[in-house]
Amino acid sequence: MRTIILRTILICLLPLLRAAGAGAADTPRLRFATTTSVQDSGLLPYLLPRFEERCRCRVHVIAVGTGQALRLASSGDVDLVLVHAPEAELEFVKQGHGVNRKTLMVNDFVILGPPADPARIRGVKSASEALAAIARRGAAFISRGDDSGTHRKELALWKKTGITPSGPWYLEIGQGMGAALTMAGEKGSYTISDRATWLGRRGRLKLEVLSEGDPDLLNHYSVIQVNPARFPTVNAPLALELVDWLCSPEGQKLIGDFRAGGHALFRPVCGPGK
Amino acid sequence: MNDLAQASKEALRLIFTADAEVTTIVAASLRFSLASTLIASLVGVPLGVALANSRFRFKRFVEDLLNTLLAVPTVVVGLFVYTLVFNQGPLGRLGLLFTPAAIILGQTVLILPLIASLSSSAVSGVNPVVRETAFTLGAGRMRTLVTVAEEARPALLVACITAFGRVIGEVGISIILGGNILGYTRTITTAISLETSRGEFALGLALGMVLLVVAFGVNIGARLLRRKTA
Repeated sequence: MRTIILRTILICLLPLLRAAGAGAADTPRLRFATTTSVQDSGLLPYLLPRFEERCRCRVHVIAVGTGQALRLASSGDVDLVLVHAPEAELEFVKQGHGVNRKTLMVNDFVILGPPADPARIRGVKSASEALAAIARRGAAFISRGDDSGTHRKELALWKKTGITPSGPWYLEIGQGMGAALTMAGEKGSYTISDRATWLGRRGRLKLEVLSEGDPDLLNHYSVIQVNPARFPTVNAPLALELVDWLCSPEGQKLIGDFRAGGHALFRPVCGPGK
Repeated sequence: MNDLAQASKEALRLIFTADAEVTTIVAASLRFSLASTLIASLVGVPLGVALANSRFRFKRFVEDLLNTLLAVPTVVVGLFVYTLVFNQGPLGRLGLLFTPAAIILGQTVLILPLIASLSSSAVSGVNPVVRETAFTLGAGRMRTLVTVAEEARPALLVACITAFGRVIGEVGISIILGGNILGYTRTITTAISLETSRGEFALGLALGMVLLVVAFGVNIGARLLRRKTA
């Protein structure tokens, strides 16, 4: 009995010990905080195994919103971020938290709503005009409300309309894109989504793309390395290797070739951050 | 309804074919929960036994405090441990954030009060005659404690099992401290929350079923042990 107990204790402590040593031990580890869309759409699960084979390392993806990814990076808890909020990114670099920012790829946001379209925004080209129409009508609108890249984009569009959205029709849910889409579909509300997540989910949702194509709706994804001068513990060589690979002809071609449900989701545009 | 039927069918297939992803996630959950339950038991049971057998001025207050800690939400514990282990926290140098060790640490903090409190009441329930007899037979203070604890052994085990049930089903700590990293810190509950947000109900349901089976086993175990006590 006693030996069994002792053995169980040892077995259970093993992962703890192994985990404690994981930082320094055998396989190098890259902590990569990303926006949820690149993980949920399947892009990273498609790209990263190829990179892991080359670098003989493990890339640990922590898929959170852009705001949280930047916060994790500004305390040095991750090595690299992939986010989509250009203004916040510039601020992040300006404060000295990040270096080597590269815009990697582009897709766009779409404004979705119920097929009945009570606010009559179908085909409205201007995104801010579409939002203004939703507000005037007081039609239910789901906002991410989580400081993500999509949420920031939505707020920028509201700012352009000059309307401060509030009232019972404006629902801030504080959750990810997937949850926001589910809720909008269930409640017949309007919402804004990145196209990648929308295409991955649309089969089961009672929503339609009602407004799209405004240049304001372009969605730039950038990678930023966490500044090794500020945080000596970050794995800068590995982060640089991944950035270089994503920007290489091989990486860019893979991004351009990526399909989900038959659709190309991201247009590779690697260059210095805009 | 059709969705549910289809997802359930797919869920059963995932379980019975021992789908690699399901297996990895379940194994991770079991590892973390067993480790944290063990560590918390090794500390919490002696603590509870000692508390029940001691008399000091603020004993009532300590007991109230322990009982209050039972109600603390897992996200609060997660956040608290986060502030300890993140890069700028006091334990930041260890680089524990987003590793299994961080989850285990958080879960241990979560159930330590639970185990201590349940152990304390388990030992309080032991017939005082046992204690007095041990004492009159010349047992020292430590020996008396051990004798009393042995008498309450089934109830102490129930305390540990209850704690295991609490950690295997928690999501707040695992997601805040583990980061839901595939193949590393993704547990049953964090995977369910992710799959739900992605609208992929089958994998979520499959994992939910596994969780139910584990919880069921734990409850049966607890009942058998309790009967042994009676």
